[in-house]
Amino acid sequence: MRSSDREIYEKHAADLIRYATVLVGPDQAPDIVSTVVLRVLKRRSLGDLDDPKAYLFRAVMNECRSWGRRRKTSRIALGRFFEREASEPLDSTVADRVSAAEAVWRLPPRHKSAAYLVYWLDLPISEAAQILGVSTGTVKRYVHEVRERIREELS
Amino acid sequence: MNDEERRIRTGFGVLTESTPPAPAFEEITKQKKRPPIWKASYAAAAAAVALLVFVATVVVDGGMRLAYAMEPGLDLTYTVNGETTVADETIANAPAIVSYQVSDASDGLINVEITYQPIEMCDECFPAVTFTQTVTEQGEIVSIEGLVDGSEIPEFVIPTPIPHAGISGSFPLFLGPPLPENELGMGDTWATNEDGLAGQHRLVEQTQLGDRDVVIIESTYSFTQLEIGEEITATTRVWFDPAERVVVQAQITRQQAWLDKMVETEFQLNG
Repeated sequence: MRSSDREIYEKHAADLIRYATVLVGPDQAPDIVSTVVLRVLKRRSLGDLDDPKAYLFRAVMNECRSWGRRRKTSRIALGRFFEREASEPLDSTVADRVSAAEAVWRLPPRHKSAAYLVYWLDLPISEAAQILGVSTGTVKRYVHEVRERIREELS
Repeated sequence: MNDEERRIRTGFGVLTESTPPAPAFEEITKQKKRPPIWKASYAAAAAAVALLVFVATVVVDGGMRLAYAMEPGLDLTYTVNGETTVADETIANAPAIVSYQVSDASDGLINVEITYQPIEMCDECFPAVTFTQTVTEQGEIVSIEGLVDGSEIPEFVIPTPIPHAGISGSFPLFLGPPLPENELGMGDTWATNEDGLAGQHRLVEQTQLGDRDVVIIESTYSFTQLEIGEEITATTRVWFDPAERVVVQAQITRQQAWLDKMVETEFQLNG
């Protein structure tokens, strides 16, 4: 039996909102996800999509990139990430976490997406490539460049 | 796992800790039932631009996006709400894509967002220039805010109240998928397989824009090996005038793909 729109959305909603949060921050993420899902639903059922997860992830990334072009880069959103850290003494462990998060946050969207899919979700390169709509070689290049950049920034 | 990978994971760990709850499905579908706010203004503006050569109109949910290719020194005028000339702009620098996004704001105001992007630049190497005008229903411009990649707009593109319009014919715009030879009915689908233009297309609607009868074709393209050296997938809606067999408007969800398509392909619908 084909899944309903609700079932498909609820199956992927947590992943989508987390992905959008990483890309644009927690304040904007719900709007991004709503916009993307609404846009799809106005045209077709989610069940009509060959691979709803890949399609929705890609749509979220595109929407985040469009949003990022139109808006000031979100230091505000970044601040939200560190509310918890700021309320605690900034020992070396916390400082490391903050540095790592800031470095990751500053990555370009597609690099950040690739790194998120590969290093956080532990997806195979091939699946990350399918979600991003790029070749596996491109994903490998993205994650290589991310590693290089993180090494430079945090060394 | 090496140090860099560990730090990347740590970074994502911190970022994901702030993840808010996902919107409920009901909240999203509630928005779907709202009537289109900009239907009237959209139709009027679309009719106006349809008279121009090389025009692509992009329709977005709850708003409108217009995109033009222009040469330096040319001016542009556009209309919102079918009666108000809202903004004009002279392209002072390189040939550029000019896109307008019109959306509703609170208190009867209209937000008009205008983005410039030089044609020969990719979006990774040059920031799009965006500024936002807030306009009352009477057409009064009440504020202008400019951004370039998060910074204030530079002087060379500061919008000034301006004159009129010229659209360059020098740049082939993206103009949609080839139609199949057989006659199409609503809901029919077809595929194209050309290099760089592989996609699935569907005839979704027949409607009227201004005094023009048009059909809407929704397409999903897979672009491969474009100039920026990577694969791009984009969704496109293309509006055809079935009588004149010319494209009057097109939408694509990713500007970069649209740019690449635009510079690479000129599509003709039976001339």
